[in-house]
Amino acid sequence: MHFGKKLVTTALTAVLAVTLAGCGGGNKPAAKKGDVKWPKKPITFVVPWSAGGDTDFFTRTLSKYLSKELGQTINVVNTVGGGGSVASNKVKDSKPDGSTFLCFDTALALNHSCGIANFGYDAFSPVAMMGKNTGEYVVVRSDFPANTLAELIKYTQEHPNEVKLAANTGATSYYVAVKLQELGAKFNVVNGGSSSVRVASLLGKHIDVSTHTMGVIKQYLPKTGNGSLKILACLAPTRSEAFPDIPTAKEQGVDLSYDMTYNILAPKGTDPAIVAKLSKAVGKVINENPDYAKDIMAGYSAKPFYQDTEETIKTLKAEDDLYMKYSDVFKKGIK
Amino acid sequence: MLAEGLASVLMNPICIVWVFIGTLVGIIFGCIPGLTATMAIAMFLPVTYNMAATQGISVLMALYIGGISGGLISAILLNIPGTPASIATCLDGHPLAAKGQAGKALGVGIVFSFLGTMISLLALVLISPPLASIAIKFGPFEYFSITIFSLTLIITLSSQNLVKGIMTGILGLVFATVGLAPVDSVQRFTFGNPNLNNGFDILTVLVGVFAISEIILAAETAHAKKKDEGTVLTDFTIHGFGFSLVEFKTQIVNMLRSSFIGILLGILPGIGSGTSNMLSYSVAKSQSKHPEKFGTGIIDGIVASETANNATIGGTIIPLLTLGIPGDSTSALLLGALIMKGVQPGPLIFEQNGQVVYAIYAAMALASVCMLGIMFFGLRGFVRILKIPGYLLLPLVFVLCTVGAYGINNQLFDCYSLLFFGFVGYLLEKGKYPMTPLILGFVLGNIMELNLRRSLSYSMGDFSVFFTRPMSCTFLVLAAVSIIVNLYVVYRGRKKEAQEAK
Amino acid sequence: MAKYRDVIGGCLFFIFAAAYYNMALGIRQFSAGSGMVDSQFMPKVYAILLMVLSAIQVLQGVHHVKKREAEADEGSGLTVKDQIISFITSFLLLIIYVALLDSVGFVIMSALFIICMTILLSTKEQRSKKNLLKLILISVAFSVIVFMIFVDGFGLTLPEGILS
Repeated sequence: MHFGKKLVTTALTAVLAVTLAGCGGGNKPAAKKGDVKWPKKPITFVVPWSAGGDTDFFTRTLSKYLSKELGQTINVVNTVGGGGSVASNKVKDSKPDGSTFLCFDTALALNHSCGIANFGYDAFSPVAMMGKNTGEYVVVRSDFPANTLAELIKYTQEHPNEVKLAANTGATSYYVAVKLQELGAKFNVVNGGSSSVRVASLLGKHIDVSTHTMGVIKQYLPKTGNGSLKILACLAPTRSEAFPDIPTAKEQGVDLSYDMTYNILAPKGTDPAIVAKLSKAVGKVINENPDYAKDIMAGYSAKPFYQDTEETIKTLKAEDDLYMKYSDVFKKGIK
Repeated sequence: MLAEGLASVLMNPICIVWVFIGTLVGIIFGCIPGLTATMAIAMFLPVTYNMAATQGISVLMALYIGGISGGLISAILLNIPGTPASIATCLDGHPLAAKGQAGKALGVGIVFSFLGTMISLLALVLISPPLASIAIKFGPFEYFSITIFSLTLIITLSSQNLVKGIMTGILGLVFATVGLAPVDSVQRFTFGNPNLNNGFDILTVLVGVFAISEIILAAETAHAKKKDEGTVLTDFTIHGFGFSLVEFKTQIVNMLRSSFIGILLGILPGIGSGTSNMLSYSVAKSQSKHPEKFGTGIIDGIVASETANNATIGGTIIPLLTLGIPGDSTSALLLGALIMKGVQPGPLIFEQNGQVVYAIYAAMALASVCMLGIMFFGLRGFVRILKIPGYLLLPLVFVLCTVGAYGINNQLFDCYSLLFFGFVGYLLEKGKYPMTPLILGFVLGNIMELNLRRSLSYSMGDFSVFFTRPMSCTFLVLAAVSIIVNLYVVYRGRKKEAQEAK
Repeated sequence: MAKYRDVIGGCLFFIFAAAYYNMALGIRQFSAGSGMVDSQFMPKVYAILLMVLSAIQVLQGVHHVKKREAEADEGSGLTVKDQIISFITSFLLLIIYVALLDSVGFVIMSALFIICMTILLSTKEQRSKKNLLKLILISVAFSVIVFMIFVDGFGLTLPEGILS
């Protein structure tokens, strides 16, 4: 029993040594005086969508350069489900110690107004806005008998309930569907799935109309791809700089426009010093890093866009107010 | 492009080493119940950030292939599937090992895993465009019908008692309803617990039902003071892969059919290797000249399961590359990695990133060969794991399962889920209910309901569309036929028993 | 006992199915454009199917009890009471392990668990002082090695408990 005891003690000491050694890890850049001691361990960016979408792309591209800026690994995790609410719930309830952040988009406000989440941006400590999309586009197959959004609406009035428009509860596509039906269109509004799934459904003739960001559909358009799909209108307030010959819905006389913004949110109660430090680092990457600009231009034809914490809160509030107006309509569902 | 892509993998010694490491790590993660290929890929992602696109993707593919292939080890040796893709391997793999032929079982599993991957790679290289266009033609109606067909076929073939089989299957479907509902995301059966928003994790269900219940039952055996029979002396001296060329020849049709099933289910995102192995097993059983031998330890079952689950890998790559739709959580990570490297999936992927695509092909081939080699040399070692007495092995395995469960989301909740399903599995075993339908019901529950509701929204509530669309109708009819045939066979069997009793 | 297995199983399933149906009624209805099939539909279908099938099973079970004698219990040959005791001990051990994992830490709890569980699973003849020593060594070494491989090697997170 002596021998055994010794061995156990040695083993336990070894364990102690190992865990103590393991506690000190992480490489930090030289800390400046007065700097808040963060990040000490790897950071997690939670994306509420599955890999491959626009929010995921912006987050991953940003974190690639941001981790060098902060000197700490950033793990991008896709927590899918509930139209984004599984992820937002998770981050909302996680420890506000600067280790977890939510990288979401305008859908946060939509989740709130649809009732999928019973909270909005104010349940978090917003950090920064990390991007703005060139806009979402109304996409159909290239042989569809309409060439503008206005024509599409007219077509649905002539063939009510025949044209399938894909909309997902709690997403911007839902807002689009509600507005279009409000404007007199007679779509059969159906559930479509994620962006790439909707594209496949379009190609397979299972749905007829869907809204997408540029990155996903670029390879299917006439000039930049194989021409199997075409765009009817851009849903942003103004024409995108990258695609100046695509008219907006507003120009076509259809009163529908919104911006798609990407934000970083921290759990409520996170140390404001951490929030400020992250926001500053994000701003630095977005505004000053040429490789970052190149990446997002290549992927989504987007230009770097950044808003600091104060401005972000204002923008988020505006978004929330806009979509909460439709809350009752959303909750009743689309007929 | 072709040459560039292939060369970047095959002629680059660093890349070859990384692929080897990836395969090895993948196999380790795949064979330990509780650890998954998904976890391995998630952990390796940061490592690939600084690698070139072709190299990074190759490592991840190696992890994927190793992970899927590794599951057969624990399935055969411990009767606990390392991943959902090897559930059906337990059914014949473990009995064969119990008969003292563990080496043969492992050898068969390894070789046919290799062949399954290679066949699907061939399909990927040669007929990827037609397969992709087939994938597009499958809409929600077809998805629904296929899942119903898979459910009925597997249930009718997996149990002695049809009623019990269907009941466990429905129980699996019931567990799948916990979480946020598809389409409208309302909370169902979550009791206000946000941890349940995403439902139970397949890992906790699988490991809980198979492994934890084993432990509890083993405790009972020990309590009864029955000596642990131990495992029959096993074939430590194995020649080659443990089976003969003659036996190989008998399995060729099985192999081809199973590959076909694996590839087909692979190109349908959402239905992956978890289903293909069980479906392939069931089909093999129904087409076999000696179906009653399935489950007693014949290599046909292992071949069907392992060929299919590896063939699904190649199938999954097709919609991943051509449509950007990942087939399961593992390939979702691959997609993320591709996008990070600037590779956008879609019809132009060959033109814009052809070298990455060919690198993937090369990596698949290389990883398969590595897998074959690693497992070949490890074969005798794996068999020696059986020498560890069960009363020590099971607790060790449970600790590893806990690591895996905890690692899902860094919370204890998943470990508790593990125990919960262990309890469920224990009760089912006690009541002599079959467990495989439970897993299948759980895996397919959400896809089935999502596609049912989507289909009905497309058809404005019209149920007849399921039958007016030809492919959908075919699968539903096949499902009905399988139930009727099973009922008939049982009826015939009862009549025969009654006659013999006279 | 064994001959009533099907009957008991069927009854338990029936009760479960009924409770499940009841809970399903509480699911929020949100008709987002998909018609009559809402989020309550499938749970209700499952519940009804289960109730029907478990009823059939109970009938089958009763039929068997009447027709044949009790089949030999291929189980462990334990009385019901012993089965329950065995189940409770092993399950309790599992629960304690998981419950204390966070607070005490992975390494210590795993080592303790392996030792206790192995003792529980082994028979009297297999337990000896020598084996106990070997067991303690293996348990501690295993726990430490697993921790080191996954936390330091792979970057996973495991609860450190009182050792942190």
